[in-house]
Amino acid sequence: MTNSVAFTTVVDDIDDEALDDAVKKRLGFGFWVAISWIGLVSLAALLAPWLPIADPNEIANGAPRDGILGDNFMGTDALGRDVFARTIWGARISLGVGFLGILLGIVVGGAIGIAAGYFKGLTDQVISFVVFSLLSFPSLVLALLITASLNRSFLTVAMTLGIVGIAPISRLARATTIQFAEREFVQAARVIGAKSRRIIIKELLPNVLVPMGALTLLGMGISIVAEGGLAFLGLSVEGEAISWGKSIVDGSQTRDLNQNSHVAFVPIFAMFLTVMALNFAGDRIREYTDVRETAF
Amino acid sequence: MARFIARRVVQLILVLLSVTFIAFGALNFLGDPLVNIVGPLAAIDYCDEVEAGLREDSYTSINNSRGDCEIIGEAKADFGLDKPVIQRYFTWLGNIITGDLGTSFQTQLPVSEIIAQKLPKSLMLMVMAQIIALAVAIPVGVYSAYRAGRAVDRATSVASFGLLSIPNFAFGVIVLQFFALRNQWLPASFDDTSIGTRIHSLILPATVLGLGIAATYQRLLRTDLLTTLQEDFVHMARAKGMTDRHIMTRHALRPSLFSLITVFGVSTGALIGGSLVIEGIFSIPGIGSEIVTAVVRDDFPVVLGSVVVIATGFVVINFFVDLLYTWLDPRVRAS
Amino acid sequence: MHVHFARTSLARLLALLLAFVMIAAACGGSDDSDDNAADTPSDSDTGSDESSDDDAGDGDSVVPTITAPEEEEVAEEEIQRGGVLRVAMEADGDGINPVANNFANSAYLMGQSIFDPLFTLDQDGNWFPYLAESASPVEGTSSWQITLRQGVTYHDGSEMTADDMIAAFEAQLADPIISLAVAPSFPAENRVERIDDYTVQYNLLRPSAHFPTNLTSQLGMVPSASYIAAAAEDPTMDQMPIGQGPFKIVSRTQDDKTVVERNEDYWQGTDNIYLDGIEFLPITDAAIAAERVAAGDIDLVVTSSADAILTLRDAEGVSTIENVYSSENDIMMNTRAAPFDDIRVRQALTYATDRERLSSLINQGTSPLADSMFHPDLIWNNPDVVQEGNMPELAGPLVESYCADVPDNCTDGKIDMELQYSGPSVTQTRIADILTAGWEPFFNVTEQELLQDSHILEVAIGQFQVVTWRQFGAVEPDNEVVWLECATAEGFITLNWVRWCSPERDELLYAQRATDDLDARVEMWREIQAEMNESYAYIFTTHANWTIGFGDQVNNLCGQTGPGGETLFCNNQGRMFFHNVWLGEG
Repeated sequence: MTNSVAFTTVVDDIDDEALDDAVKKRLGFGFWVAISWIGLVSLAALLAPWLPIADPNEIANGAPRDGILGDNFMGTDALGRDVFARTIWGARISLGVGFLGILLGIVVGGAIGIAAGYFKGLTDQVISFVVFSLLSFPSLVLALLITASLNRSFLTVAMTLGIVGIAPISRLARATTIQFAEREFVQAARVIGAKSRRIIIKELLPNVLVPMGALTLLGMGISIVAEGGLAFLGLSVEGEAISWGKSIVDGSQTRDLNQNSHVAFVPIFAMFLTVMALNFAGDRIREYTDVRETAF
Repeated sequence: MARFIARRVVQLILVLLSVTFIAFGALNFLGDPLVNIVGPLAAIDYCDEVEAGLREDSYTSINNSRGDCEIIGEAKADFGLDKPVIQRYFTWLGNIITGDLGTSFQTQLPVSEIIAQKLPKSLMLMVMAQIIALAVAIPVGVYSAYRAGRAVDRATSVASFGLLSIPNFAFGVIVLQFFALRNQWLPASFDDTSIGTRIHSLILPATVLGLGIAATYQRLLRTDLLTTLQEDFVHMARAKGMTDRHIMTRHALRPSLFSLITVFGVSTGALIGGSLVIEGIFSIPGIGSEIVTAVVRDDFPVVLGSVVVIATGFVVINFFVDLLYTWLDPRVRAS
Repeated sequence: MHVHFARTSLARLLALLLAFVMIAAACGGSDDSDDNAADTPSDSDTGSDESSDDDAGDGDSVVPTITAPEEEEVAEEEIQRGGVLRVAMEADGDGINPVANNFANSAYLMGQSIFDPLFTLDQDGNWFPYLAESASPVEGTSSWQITLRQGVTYHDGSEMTADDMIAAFEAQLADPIISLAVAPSFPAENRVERIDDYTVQYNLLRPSAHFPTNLTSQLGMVPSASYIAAAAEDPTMDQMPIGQGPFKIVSRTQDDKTVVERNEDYWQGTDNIYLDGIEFLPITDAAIAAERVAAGDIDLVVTSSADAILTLRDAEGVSTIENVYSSENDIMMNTRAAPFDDIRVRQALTYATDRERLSSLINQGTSPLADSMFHPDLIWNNPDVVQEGNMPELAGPLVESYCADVPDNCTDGKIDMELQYSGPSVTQTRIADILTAGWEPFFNVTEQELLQDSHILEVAIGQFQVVTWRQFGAVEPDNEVVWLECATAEGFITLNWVRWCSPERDELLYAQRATDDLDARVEMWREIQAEMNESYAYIFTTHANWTIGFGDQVNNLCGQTGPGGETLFCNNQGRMFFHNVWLGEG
């Protein structure tokens, strides 16, 4: 095999968490709970403007730093803004950049990975080398390198998260492609003289897309967390835009954290549950489709 | 083996070249290096306007000294910004190899000196985090494999799943609130007074980082142990009448610990990323805080120098992990 | 990458200008004059001691005296010697070389332990000679001769002479930022003359009755000539200054820790220096620093953050010395950029601003609302000047009328505008959010968070519409002239940030500078405040609260004395001396 194998051994086989056989091939009750939660949060995020909740940016909607279950359902923050409304609106950006980011990562990373896995040879070597180099950066450092010099709009942040995802995703896509490229149906298509483009689109893509489904959920969780990390570095979406990461940072000012911890804890809880649901559902899909390795 | 190592060393060098180039390129392409050097004035076509006589060079008028445009021009020449990026990259690389990471715009101190001051604190944090992770993960992993399927095992599975799902900053904030602010059991920020206070004040952040990777370790160890327990020699040992506990600790654990080595490299990456944020939350003046400050101050050489040092460290650690793993498990070498 | 560009560029030049601007007492205005102008000539003959006592004795106190709570007389024998004071600062300085670095609060804290000033302020806000023996005007007041005390030695053992003063002056002029504060006051040629070994004559551009007040700031801290020359060659030496103060530097790691120890060869002797040394720790989260003062592992913190002040007030065994007379928080509008070149728009923004809400949510009761650049307790304050705000009903018609005239600057009947603030900072973000919420019924607000460097640069070159800012607050208001005069409003780069020029106001500014009649000056400053108020270029929000918080073990912060027994000004914008401080049992 080529050098690229060596590049990948370092990080391969890691997340191969063997699972109880009994759980396999069954999504299970937990999966549906997780999916419901994700659905609920996504729906709330989408419908936020029409929900009967307070204006998230209204200063002094209630008395500042009011506790949970006071006049406001989840209390208010330092400026008297409704924490519940801000958490729902925060989901819009957090889920938004998470979804858009992973989408970009999958489209670009998937294309690169399939190309590498299908064409092999020099293409594969070059791509694998670049991918491995990118993987040599701790992801937050890479994200920081990108956002540091740019204006931080919603799209920039989503794009940054996407770029960070490209390398690991393309590695998974490559591995899956190699796996399928050896299979009879692909070999057969080659023998009857089908064009590469046709083989990739008709034969490989559908098979590579399946593990990508699990990846979308897992990757979205990672992107949501990454947005929070950027927020702590002061590099998340700028301006009045509300995100979970920014809300957590706002609530984590020492004195507020000590005396009115709900301001930070409510968005932390929302983020935690959502990321856990995404991880759980992603894990289950992965087991279900029997993908042995993930990129993360 | 010698040929194998030689090939890996070549790879290592190639990857290091590529990694430094990506860092250099990101800052050069995404940001205007001239802006990073001389400030935002370079970006507003200010000198063109001065040259065209549309405005006076403010600096000359205030200071009766060199004008800004003269300085910007000099900066361009001195930093070789009129030359292609590749050429600049190699000049910079040449300096790095001789140990010269440049000089901070902010303090005028050599970047290598700044890193030498900050890196030990981050290393200490990471080493403590790794120790905590292993100290938690090994016993828990062994016990949960030993009790596979039982309540204890299920509870630890849920706990480690929870730990994997909670963002480290969120965990950090919760821990800070409870252990340092609400109850003042442990310090909320770094105290550099002595080695003792240093360790004491790093307990909370190291625990936050450590428990995150402990979950990964525990899951891996448990899976690996369960696989090992299926193997023939274990059945044989059992047939000979050895207790499970004996088998677990004497025979099964050792090979499984080897697989921990593979994750070590990756967990180091997670630690570096995590410490960027955690250092901020617990006010630790380490390399992570330094990068963040340098980014805010547009201190280009410090950002570049620190990132290159971190990425190089990460690559080199993975290189050795890879070698070690190969050495321990000849099957990998064969393929 | 060996070239030291950073400091020579205009951007860097302005990088710390804001901090500098707020604090350097002498910025731009050389011809200071304050109320005790008449006393000045008499200072020259007999040295500082009696003359400064005279100053204080006149009762012309220009500031309310700030004292520590429960300040009690302590007999000399009760004072405990020894110990290292641990001081938390909100940030770290670039360096501590007073002729090369711009001193904000943190650099002043460290600098004042390492350097003695040529002149400083007593508790009434009047200047008196410290390292200088005397200061006397010659040829009217356009030239000043300053004579040094003899026998003052630097930490390297050399004696301080006129040559050091000249070297420092030349270095200040050579430094791009510091020269902004110095150069405009001097002619192009023949600015300084060496009279004898201990006397230097400064030739000013215009007559000034109170040149020495300029030298109470960082401009009056004089490193040795040999150090200045060495630091010019090797900027890393800015981190290890050689002064003549009560403490000398031991080690310094930027953003980490700076350590000074007692100077055993201090020119005044070490009898009254009680501490063994001081550790300065930059802790950017002031509330954490306050918690640590409360926990006792840090002795003292200097802060202007509401959260930290409240934490300090709440804590057991912790006292605070608060000063709300120095520096004001405000919102500034660029009067030369559309739409804020139109007074209707400035008025509308003012009416739409809810200052009470801003103050209560952000300052949480730690800072009083401000009506002008002067706190009501200051003699300069004009009680008739009231900062308008929170009258949204008045904003609507103005916006309507403006939008009818200039539809290009409006969308959907609201005026398009941009609010700029410095970040990343949670507090600054909150302020922007509060303001935006109030303005939104009348304005389409775009928030722009800029890194501090870019923020200050863009304000200085007029690339802004509305910004949140902090400035003013000098003990002697003549030092505020530079922010207000027309002369600097015209330039590409200006310190008159709002670019508002009024010839009548200029006349007042220069008239108050020319006279030493306190009553007349007060009257003029009141007119100036009224004019500023009517220009609608500034919206004053609160008087910043500079607080020193310290554990009970720290003694004698206020009530420290100068060379002649003068009581020193306590907590000037958070700045303080350390030589008489001592540590007892908590």
